[in-house]
Amino acid sequence: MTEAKISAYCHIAPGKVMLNGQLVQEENTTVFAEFIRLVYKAAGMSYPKFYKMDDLCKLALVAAEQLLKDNQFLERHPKENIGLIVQNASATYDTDATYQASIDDRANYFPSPAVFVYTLPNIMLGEICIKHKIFGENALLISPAFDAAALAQHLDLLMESGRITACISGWVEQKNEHYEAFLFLAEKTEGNANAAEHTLNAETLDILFKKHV
Amino acid sequence: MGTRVFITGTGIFSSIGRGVDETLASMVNGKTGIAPIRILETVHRDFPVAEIPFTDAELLALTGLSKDLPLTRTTLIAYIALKEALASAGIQQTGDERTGFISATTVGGMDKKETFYPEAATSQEWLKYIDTQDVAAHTEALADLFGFRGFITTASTACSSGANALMLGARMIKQGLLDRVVAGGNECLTRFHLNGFNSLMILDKEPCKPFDQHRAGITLGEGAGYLVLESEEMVRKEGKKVLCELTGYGNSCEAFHPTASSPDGVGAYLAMQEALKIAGLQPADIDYINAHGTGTDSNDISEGMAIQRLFGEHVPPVSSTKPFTGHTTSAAGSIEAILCTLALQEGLLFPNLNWKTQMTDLNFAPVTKLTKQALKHVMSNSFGFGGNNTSIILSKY
Amino acid sequence: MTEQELIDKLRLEIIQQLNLEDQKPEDIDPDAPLFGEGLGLDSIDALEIMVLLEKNYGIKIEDPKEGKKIFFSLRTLAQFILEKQQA
Repeated sequence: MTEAKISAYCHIAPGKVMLNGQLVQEENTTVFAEFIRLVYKAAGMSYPKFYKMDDLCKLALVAAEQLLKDNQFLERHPKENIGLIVQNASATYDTDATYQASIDDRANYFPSPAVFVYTLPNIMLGEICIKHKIFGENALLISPAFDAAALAQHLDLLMESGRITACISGWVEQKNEHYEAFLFLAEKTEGNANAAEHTLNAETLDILFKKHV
Repeated sequence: MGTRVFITGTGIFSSIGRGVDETLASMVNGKTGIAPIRILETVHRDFPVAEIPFTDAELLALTGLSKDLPLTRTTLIAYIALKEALASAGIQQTGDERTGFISATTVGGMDKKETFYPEAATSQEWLKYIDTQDVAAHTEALADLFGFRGFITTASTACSSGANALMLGARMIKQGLLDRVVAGGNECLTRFHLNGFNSLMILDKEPCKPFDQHRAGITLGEGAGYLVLESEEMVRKEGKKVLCELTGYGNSCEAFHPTASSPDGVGAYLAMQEALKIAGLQPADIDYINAHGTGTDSNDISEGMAIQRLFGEHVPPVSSTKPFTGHTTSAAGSIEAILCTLALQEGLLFPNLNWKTQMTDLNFAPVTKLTKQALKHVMSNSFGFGGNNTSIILSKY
Repeated sequence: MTEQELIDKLRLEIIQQLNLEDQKPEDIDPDAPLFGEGLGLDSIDALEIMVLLEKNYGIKIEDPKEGKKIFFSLRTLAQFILEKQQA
C-alpha cells in the first residue's frame, strides 16, 4: 500500500458540522434548506452558484469548503493530480422527483433545464472542481452504505499508480430530509510536513466515519 | 508497471444489432439505428432516436427469464449483452473472489418509474419494481442473474460511465487485485432524459452530424456493452483467445461548467494525454480516434481543439460512431470500446455518417467512408456532464 | 405596462427563476450585461429565462442562439417582451 495520510476530515449531519472530530457548528434547525444556508454563511462563502445547485451539490460543496478553507491543501498539489472520489447511495433521487414533476403536468409543461442538470450524482464532483479549479480524476461510486474498504482500495489504486498525489474523498448522501457527509483530505506522504497522524486505510476511515456526533 | 490487461470477450446490444456479428454488419453496410420513435411512449415525436427495435415484452422473451422477475428495460438489454460477453470469453464460473463485475448506468429503473408515476403510491404492480429505482440495484440484479459474488460496484458518471467502468476494471487487474473483470455500461431510453436533453436544447431534429459545421445536437440512443478483461496470467493459464489489449486510460475533470465543455478542451486534452502516458505511447502512435463526437456545438469544438492541440501535425483519422448507434449515454463508453475492438480486428476505419461541411475552427475532417486500414492502437473518448472526461486506448495483440 | 414596470417585474421573476437568492432586485442594473459580467449568468440560465418567457409571457424562443441577443440586458429583454405583446 502507498503511504498516505488523512490531513483533515469533516462530518455534516442534521444540524451539526464537525471538523477533525470537533463540533464546530450546531444549529437549532435540522431542516436541510435552512441548515445548509447557515453553514454556507458561517463558512464565509460568497458563491452565488450555490443557490442554483440541488441539495446534494449544496451539501458536497459546503463540506468540501470546511476542509479547504483554512489550509494550503490546494497549493501543495498540482491541480491535475488531486482526485475527487466519492461514494453515494441514493444518486439524485430528490432532484429526479423534482424534474419528473416538471414534466408530468401536460397542462403546465415547463421542464426545467437547471433542474435536469442536477439529475446526475457526479455533478457534485464537477461543482467542487469548478469552484476550486481541480482537474484530477473524478469517480462517483454507488454503494448502499459507506464502504471504507472499497474506498481505501480505490484510493490506494490511484495513489500507487501516481495518478493522484492527493484527494478529496468520502461519502455524500442526501434523500428527503436524510443527509450526511463525511469528506476527508488525503495526501501522499513522502516527507510531507503538513500531514496529520491518520494513515489512510480502511480501519482508520471506518473509525473516523463513526466519529460523527 | 503491473500486469497486462486483455479483452477476451465482448457482448453488445444496440439499435444497430443484437450481438457483435449483427453490429459489425451494420457498421460495414453503413446501416444506422437512428429512426423516428417507435417503442418509447412519448408525445415528443420531433426527435429521431436510436432505439432497440424490441418492446419490453419481446426483450423478455429473448432473455427467456421469468416474467415474475422485476426486470426493467435497462436490465433486459444488459442481460442479453452480458450473456454474449461471457459466452464469447468462454466463462462459465463467475462466482469466485478474483472475478469482478463493474456496471454503469444513470437511468437505472427510470423507465418503470415513469410508467407508474404519479400513481405509484397506490399501484400494486409498482411494488414489484420498487427496488429497481436504485442505480445500484441494476448491477445487483445482473450480478444475481449471472452469479457474480466477488467485487461488484456501480459507476455513475453520466456519459463517461461505461469507459470509467473499463478503466476501474483495468486498474484492479493491473494492480493484482483481481484476475478478471466484466465491465461495461447500459442504458435504456426514457421520457425523463429525452425531455431533459430537450430542455437543454441540445437534441437534433435530424440524425446527428458530429463535427459538421452545421451540427445541431445529439441523437439519443439506448443499449448495453460489456467487455471481459483478463490478466496476462489468466489468458496464459486458460489458453484464452485475445481480442485486443487495453493499454491506456485516463480520466480528468474539466472544471468548467456542469454541462458545457470548455472551448479549448482542457479536460479532454488531459484525459487523452494521461491515456497515452499509461500506454507508453506517443500521439503519432494512435491510428484512429473514436471520438465522443456527440454533435453538440460545445463538445465537438472542445474535443476537436483538444485533439488538434495534443496531436499537432499527427491528427489520426477521427470519427464519431454516434450517427450509427445514437448517443447511448452510460453505455457509450463500453459500446464504443467494442466498436474499437472490431476496428482493430477487422482493420477498418468506421465512417462519421451525416457529415457534409468542414468545421471552420478545426483543421481536420472526420473519416466519411468505410476504409480498410491496418490498425495498431486506437483511442476511444467518452466525456460526461460534470466535466468527467475519459479516454481509453485499445491495442492490437 | 410601461418598460420600467416590466423591468421591475422581471427583476423579481429572474431572481426567483434563476435562484439568485443573495441578489437584491434594486441592485440589478437594467443596462448591465446579464451574461458574462453583470449578473454573470451562463448558458443554463439563458435556457431558464426562455422557460420563464414561455411560462409567464407565452413567448417561445426556438433557437437558444437567438436568445443570447435578446437577453443582453434586462432592458433589452423588457423591450423584446413589449414588442411581442404589441404585435
